[in-house]
Amino acid sequence: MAQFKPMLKINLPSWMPRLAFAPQGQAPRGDVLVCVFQRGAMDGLNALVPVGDSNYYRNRPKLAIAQPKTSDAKSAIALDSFFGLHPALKGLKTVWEAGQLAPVHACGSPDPTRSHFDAMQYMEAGAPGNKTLGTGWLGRHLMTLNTGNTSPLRAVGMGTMLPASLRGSTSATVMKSIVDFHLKGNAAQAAVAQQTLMALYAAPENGEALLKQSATEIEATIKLLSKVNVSSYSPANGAKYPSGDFGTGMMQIAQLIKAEVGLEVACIDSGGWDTHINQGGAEGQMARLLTELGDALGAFHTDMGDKMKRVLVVTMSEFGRRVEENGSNGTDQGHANAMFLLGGGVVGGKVHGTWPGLGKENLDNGDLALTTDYRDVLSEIISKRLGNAKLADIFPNYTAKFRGVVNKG
Amino acid sequence: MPDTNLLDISPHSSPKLTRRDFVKIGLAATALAGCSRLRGSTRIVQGAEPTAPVVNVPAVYSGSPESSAKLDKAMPVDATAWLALNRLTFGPRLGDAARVQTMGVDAFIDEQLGLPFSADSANTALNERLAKLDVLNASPADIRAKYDMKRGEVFQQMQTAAIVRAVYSQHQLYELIVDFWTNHFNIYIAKGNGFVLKPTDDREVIRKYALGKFRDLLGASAHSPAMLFYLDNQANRKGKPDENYARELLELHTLGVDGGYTEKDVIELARALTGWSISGIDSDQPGEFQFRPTQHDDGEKTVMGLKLPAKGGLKDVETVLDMLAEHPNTVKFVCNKIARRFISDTPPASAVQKGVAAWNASKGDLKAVFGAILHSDEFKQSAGQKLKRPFEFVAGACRALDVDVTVGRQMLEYFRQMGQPLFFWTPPNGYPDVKGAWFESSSLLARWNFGLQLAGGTLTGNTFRAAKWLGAGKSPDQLLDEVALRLLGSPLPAATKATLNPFANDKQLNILVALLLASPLYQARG
Repeated sequence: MAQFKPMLKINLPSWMPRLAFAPQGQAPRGDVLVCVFQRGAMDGLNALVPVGDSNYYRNRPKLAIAQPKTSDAKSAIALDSFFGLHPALKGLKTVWEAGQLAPVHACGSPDPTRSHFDAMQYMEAGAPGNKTLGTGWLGRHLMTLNTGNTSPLRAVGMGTMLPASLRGSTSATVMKSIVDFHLKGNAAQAAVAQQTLMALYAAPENGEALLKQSATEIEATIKLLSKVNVSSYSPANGAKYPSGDFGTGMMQIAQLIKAEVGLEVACIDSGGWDTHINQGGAEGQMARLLTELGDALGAFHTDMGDKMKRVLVVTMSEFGRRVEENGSNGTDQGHANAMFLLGGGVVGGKVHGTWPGLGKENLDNGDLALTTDYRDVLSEIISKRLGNAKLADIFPNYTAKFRGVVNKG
Repeated sequence: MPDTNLLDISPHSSPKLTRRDFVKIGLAATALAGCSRLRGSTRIVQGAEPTAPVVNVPAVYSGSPESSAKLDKAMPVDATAWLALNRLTFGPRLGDAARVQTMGVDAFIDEQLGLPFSADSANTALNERLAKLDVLNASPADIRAKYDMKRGEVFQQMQTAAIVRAVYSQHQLYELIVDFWTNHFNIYIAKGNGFVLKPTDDREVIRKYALGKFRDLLGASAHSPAMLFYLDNQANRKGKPDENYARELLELHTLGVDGGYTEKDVIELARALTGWSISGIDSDQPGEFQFRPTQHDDGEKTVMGLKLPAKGGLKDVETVLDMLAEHPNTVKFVCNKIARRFISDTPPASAVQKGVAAWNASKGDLKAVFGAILHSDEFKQSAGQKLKRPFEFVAGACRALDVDVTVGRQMLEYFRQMGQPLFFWTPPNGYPDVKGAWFESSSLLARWNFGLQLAGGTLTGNTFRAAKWLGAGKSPDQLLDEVALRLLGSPLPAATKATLNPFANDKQLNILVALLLASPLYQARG
């Protein structure tokens, strides 16, 4: 039973929309949440393949992934009698076998837009159709959950800009790389510069408290990161991260979790999924993307080892792709998609969701129909794994239906 | 007034200069301004057509740093002049303070508002840089043909143009106002194929009407393929309405979210906007504005009580724009935003009211509106009310240090890290204009590192020569005072001076400048 402390005042920046937040008690920390956003709209039908649906093969004469056959490395990896993983996602196989992978199919945002930009904005805002909400679902989650955690690395966006999902959080830090978060110049010069600036910011003569606070956070972050030993890191259990931004980013998230710097939420992007042309089947453009994705997530899972019990990784993409392949060996913008959940808290070993079918009559304007709102999945994670009950603030005007994708933490 | 050390005057206690001091400063400023003739107040008659028979292009903006350095050394900076330069330009260059102090802030405002489009025609530093950017004058089809597979170059050219204009243009206030409208009518340049359209919007909408009539600006934006595409109006068809643009037109471009319209008004306006589309959209090659009568809902509509009879066609929207452009809530909303941009994050209602009065008297002449707000006492008394956004921070530092600027990957990356990559704000409301949005730890760290790199001379292509900038062989006190005067317009407060004293020598001049750029005091926008 959480002990209720005196009301915590949440100071929202004045440029953000005003929301009414109830007073908060301090809550225990739940899982570390790692959100992977696949920019460009992943083709969920070729990632989490409905190998048991003949209409899939009818619609994809060139791009379809073959039904699982143990002798064929280019065929799907069987999950159950109906679904298989793209062979390039072999990195997720051990996660599946460990019961820590929970794919969800035919899910996503209900908004009909096929604009990548609008769909991303809606998904990250946590409010499909709403273009003016200035905060993101994760920002509101952090604002409404007081875990007593004052770490400047409570929420981290790996990249150069704050992910829209984290907007509104006063405790989010953006970094392209934990290796780069320091002052420029040689070490001695940087140390002197930092020390001098901290002295100047300790009592800013223009009375700007927000400058002082920000400088304090910089110093605290640099200090925290100095404990992580950012430049020399050996992943545990022989885990091998792929090179490239995504693999490196996942490795750095693992470093931060292990270093216990107070990380609760991490956001990371994976790009290049807009495969209109030459998407490829078992091999090719999309296979390369899936290899990087699967290998990085697999390495992360191996690296985290036992700590994976309190970590939850969730993937999402703004929408899916059209069921029927196009004339350029690719696929156009579609609707529903697949999400992957990894972690000790997931209900693993099972493909979740309701399969709507791929017959003409089952499609939504030629696209995979949506049977699970992505907010149902995220709400269940937030509620059961992160211990935040303020779902109405996080996903305004929406009542989530839990689908049993995670266990109560 | 002793004539020994004018630096002893504390500028923020508004120095009372004697006639003798004033003459001295005036003489200095005259020398500084070269051939520029000092003028008395030539306040524009509000609402009148722009008249600029005599154009005094202020020579100081591209003046020689060596010649002005000596003069600045002895120049106390009047707090109001410093404020005006920080708010109405991207930041003072050497000599600007002396000049504005001499001519007076009101005359400076009028001068800036009165400059014609051709103000930069002889500005070699600027024009040489702009000449390399071929998307600026290109049509959507040209851009499509040349940059379809390398759209990143279009983003980079547009950002470069905005930055070099901010650093080098003599029409500083205009460039700030362009930035204001760029955000008011925000368009995310990287949405789909929108990158072929935004350069035209920048040229033919924002830059063309930034100081024209609001109705013309609003109308041009409504016809802008870039805007219609960004807010999906090409998908807004009879029987299949898309309310995106209609909603933002009311909420962000005119009335404001509390502007008194209803959901029903949004829907009715969306109906009026059906068929407002773009040529070539079906072939995925958007280009020009195109009204598609077959997609237009030609039934009767009512927007905000205004009846639009059936079969109005294109006229429907024009009628609504006429109404919106002079609606009291629009006037108040826009004037409040202008006052927020230039006066305070929480602007005084009295200053907003001056803008409103000028708007009503001039029928929305933006020169009159900006003039009224900027000439207000509220503006002059607003020191300490604004902090620099990244754009002003970077451009201002380059101006203050007289850096020979090359906008390259590194500089653009700093804009991203500071949180303001130009033309990349995704939602339609434009970059925030209050300080709370700009000082997240990674953004502030990026400012520190930019200062260290720029003043340290390690920002590729952007050379800063400290010794040439300030001259060598000065005492620590002189160094501290002169650097502070150039970057802050006033001597250093005692605590900061003590902290920075160890760096006050010729050898560490670069780091002294860097630390001051990174300091809390330099983040203030006057």
